[in-house]
Amino acid sequence: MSDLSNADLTLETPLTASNSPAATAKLLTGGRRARITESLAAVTLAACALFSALVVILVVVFVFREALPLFAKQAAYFLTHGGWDMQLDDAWSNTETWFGALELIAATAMTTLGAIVASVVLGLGCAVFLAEIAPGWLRKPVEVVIQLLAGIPSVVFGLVGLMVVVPLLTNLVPVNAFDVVTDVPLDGASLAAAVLVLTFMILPFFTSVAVDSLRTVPRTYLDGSLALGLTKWRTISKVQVPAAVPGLLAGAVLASGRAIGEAIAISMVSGSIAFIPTLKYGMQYFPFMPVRTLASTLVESGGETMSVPNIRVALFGLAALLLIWSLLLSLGARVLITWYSNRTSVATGRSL
Amino acid sequence: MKTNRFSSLLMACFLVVALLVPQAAMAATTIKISGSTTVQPLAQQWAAAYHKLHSDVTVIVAGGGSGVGFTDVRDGKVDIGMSSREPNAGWESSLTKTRVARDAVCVAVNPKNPVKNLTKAQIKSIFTGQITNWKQVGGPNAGIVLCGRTGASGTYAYFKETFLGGSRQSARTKQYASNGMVRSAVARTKYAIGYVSVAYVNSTVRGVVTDGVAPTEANAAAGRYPYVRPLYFLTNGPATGASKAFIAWCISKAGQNIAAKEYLRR
Amino acid sequence: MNSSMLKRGLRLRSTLGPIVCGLAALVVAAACIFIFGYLIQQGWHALNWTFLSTDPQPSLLEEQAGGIRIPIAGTLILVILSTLLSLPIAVGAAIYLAEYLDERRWWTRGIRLGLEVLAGVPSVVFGMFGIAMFSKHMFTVLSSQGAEGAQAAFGRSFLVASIVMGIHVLPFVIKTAEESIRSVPVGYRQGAAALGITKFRALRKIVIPAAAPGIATGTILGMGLTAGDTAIVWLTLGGTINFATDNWWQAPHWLEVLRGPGSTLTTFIYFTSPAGEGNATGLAFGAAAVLVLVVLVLNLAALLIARLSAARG
Repeated sequence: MSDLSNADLTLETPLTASNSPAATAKLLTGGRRARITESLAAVTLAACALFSALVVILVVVFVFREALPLFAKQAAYFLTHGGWDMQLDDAWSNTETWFGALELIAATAMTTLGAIVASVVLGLGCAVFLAEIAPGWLRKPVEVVIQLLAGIPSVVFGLVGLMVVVPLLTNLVPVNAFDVVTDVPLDGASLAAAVLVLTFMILPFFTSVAVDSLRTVPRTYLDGSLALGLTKWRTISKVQVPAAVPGLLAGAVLASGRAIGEAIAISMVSGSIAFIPTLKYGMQYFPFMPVRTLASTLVESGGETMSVPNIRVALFGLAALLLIWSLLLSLGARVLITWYSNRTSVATGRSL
Repeated sequence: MKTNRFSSLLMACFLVVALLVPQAAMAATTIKISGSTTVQPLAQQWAAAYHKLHSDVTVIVAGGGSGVGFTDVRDGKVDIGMSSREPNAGWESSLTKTRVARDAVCVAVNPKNPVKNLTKAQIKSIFTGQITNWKQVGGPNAGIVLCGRTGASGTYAYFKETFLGGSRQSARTKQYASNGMVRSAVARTKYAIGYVSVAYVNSTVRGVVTDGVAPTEANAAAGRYPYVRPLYFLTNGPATGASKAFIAWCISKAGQNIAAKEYLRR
Repeated sequence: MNSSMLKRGLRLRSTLGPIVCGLAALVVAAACIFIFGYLIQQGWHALNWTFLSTDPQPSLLEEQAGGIRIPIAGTLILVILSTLLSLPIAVGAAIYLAEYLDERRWWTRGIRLGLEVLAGVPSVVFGMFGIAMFSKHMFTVLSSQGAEGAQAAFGRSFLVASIVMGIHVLPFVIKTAEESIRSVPVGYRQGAAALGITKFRALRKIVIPAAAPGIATGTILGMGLTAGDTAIVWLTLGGTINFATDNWWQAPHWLEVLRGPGSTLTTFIYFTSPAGEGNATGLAFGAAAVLVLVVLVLNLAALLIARLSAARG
């Protein structure tokens, strides 16, 4: 290398006012204009964040404000009485009609419950498979396929449900149904179809949360269990899954929030009568009874009936109900997740 | 660097404005129509034909049912409301109605259903829920699936008045928002029955012979099939401007020739 | 029961258990594959240029002829517009949450709560909010005037639908963007600070570009959500098929189109399916096939971006 003692210590470019250290620093930091930009940027960004957080308040306030006349007058009746279809019929001519949403509420509860149970059972199996059992080469493809289910639009689920699931179920309706069940016509478009379609729609959401909670069970638990001689499966079923229960619960609550809001697919496959499925004729007729949920009522009647005041108020009452319900569920999920992460952060080493 | 970016941003804004400003100047006329799903296909055909003649006028047609037509035009959301029934009492004064066509209403069943004839009394008993099995009217032993319309429907209002004598349709009726939906429900359910405008009857459903008369356009035009009702365009007060011209065209010979293809002349 | 019986039962359960789980995964994967396969099979006829480039021609009596050009254009318009509207706000909010916000402050929790709550609102409620709010007279600029001298706006148009859709996808894009900004190594920021670069400048020039793949993934996620949503679009876009004007592809008409109703692939499917107006199941399947292909492509793109950026390190 060159002899440093003979190195030319003059700079290639001589120092001038424009490339002195001070000038360079100013170039980088920008000086006063930069300070203005910085504060402007901070304010704009804060405004974006604030807007995003507060717009939900706008939505909630708007919906509740529209529904206020209903709740002020007939809140209790709304929640405890049925007869929605007839009332909608009457309301076009009679402005004093009181609305009862009980059938819609019950239908929402039943379809959601059914879908949650089915998707927890199925989804837990998938999650265990993905987290623990699948060989490395199989894991990613299966995960991708299951997550792809989440990306399928709900109207596509509705179309496939209508063209495949409903005819299949129609064939399963007991033959003497029309004689026995006199309240409503039984059909493939029913509670069962709604639950089936909804299960596959919410399953990916539950599964991804479940996989995460299974994976975050501390390895020490599993290693300890294996060291004690339990088989892998027993470790999974007796140690890992129970340890992941809070996360699984949160996932189930999250998925149910998604389920109650599902409108389009349900409206396509669930029959168009507001009716509470009843067991009084026997178990075999129960799944085939038609239902209409809160969300599907909104999407079916929402657009056209905005102009008649009492119908409009009733529909916003449904929307407000749906909003409260899904807010409770999503907040509940958040509470569960926080509680769970607090517990595990403290509990390493302590048995659950 | 900075000046380049700034000037390109300025250019972009200028381009956007340049694209959009001429449109304010062009200001094509738009006529908005909503209401009866019975009238909707006819209005859409008229809209398309009228647009060919007057390319600066665009007509947008939405559905919703006659009730929606009333309220939308009363609230000023649309220029013209379509309706297949008379406006409710009390609205007569504010809404101007123009009869633009006529239409027949019939009862339809699935083509696989062997029942072909019904009397008016039977239809009433079926839709009010007194008759619940096809075997009671000479058909197979199967329950009757009722398909009807929502409260906004003019077709339902007419059906209620004429066929049901004012009684409400049974609580077991599946309510649909349009003629088209009733038709597709009947078409895919073997033992369904529903009421639709005759203009909607095609090969997927079969119109039921009522009191001995087949519900065809020919029979209706000749007066043999009596269940015919007027179809209206409603405006808030007398029609003005573009709406007036459009309605005038619809009731002219050219417009009526289009109506006569699938509906009845006014 | 002696210990060997126990062991046998245990061994049985231990071998059955994983099999049952595998079966569950198989059932779910099979359902997914079935849906895609069924749609492609039924909608195969749709994947030709004529179908994709003809407008739907709704007719009363005949099978609805025509193609799906308008719904495809509608979906494109909706996706582009709602992304344009929501992306700046989402990225801005994500930057703020990741870089400026102090986790200890009380309002931090409030902002996060607000976002969480927003994510939990069902899309059909957004739709109701949309048509109610944007029918107010002050929003006439977004949709068209009702009638001459009216006191209400029509309340349904692409602009309205895009705004509502933008609000709907906001929390999801923010979440993904924030995560990817946070995952930029802290060394980048420290290096920038050591060089004396001010905060926002450093963000703009260094951190955000580094987080770009993650932000892109989040945007694509939002696009997929927008393309697939029906409830909001059905309520806020007017339930019709055609655009407000005929020659919609010509620039001078764009404002009119944006302020008018129309259809997207999703509402078109709903409209033409047996649950809607239609005896046009062929059209519905065609549109559904196109829609799932679009969703598939978007998902793959997101996956690819994630893979590429991880490879780059």
